[in-house]
Amino acid sequence: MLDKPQVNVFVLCDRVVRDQRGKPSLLGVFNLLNFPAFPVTFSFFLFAQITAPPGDYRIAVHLASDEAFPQKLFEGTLTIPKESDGADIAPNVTMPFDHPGLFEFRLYINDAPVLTRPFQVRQVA
Amino acid sequence: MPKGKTLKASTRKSAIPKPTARVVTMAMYDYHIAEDTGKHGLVGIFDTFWSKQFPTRVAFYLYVKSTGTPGRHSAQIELKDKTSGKHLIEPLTYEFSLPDKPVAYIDLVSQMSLDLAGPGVLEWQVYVDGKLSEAYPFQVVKVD
Repeated sequence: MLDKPQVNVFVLCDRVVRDQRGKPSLLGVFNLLNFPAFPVTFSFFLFAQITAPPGDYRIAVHLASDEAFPQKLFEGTLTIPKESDGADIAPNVTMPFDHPGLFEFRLYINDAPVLTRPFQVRQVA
Repeated sequence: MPKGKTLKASTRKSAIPKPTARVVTMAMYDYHIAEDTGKHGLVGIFDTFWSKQFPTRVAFYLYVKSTGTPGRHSAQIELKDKTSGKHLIEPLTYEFSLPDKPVAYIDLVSQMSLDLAGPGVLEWQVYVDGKLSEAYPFQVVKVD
């Protein structure tokens, strides 16, 4: 249906659960993170639903900030079977945040950047 | 104004940039949970409609996440049959404001009911501020 991969969904959430058939549900989808104090370590899920021709794809997700080199959060292979035209990844990542700030998720497919997603971490009272 | 002179409209562009926005995520799913904290629950995400018989009616939710510069924006969501080009729903229209923050997102949630005549390839088209922002094709498949 598509001649190249397309990311339909890329969200951050508290948890990803699947039913018996593997159908995913995303719980606690959020757009930013609020913490009362820093440093803090936070665990969350990245969920990406990707539509692409059948095949194997190398997927990587990096997190970049103004103050540090991008760090790799996830790297793996996504297999899209012949009878389907899409699949998803849902890695659980644990991240230390030393301070509030602006961050950016970058998703790569076969080493090519396909998506960037700015993201804010705030300090709240 | 001196006689014989006409007043011409200024062709200079405004120094204030026009707000821009784009769609970053679209999901179809079975059930929506709106949490008090502002978080969302998207239960039963799928990317293909499967049915044993046609015509059939399907009920689901549509989640569209957009981001952009602060200001007023408009979004219109259309669903087309990719083969015939026929519109399958009345366009959904929204207006929203993005706040003046370093990063701002708006989440639009719609409850949908859709009549599917048969298998094929359909496509969501999302227009933001009058421009096509993203297109999301998906399949409708008959299963035995």
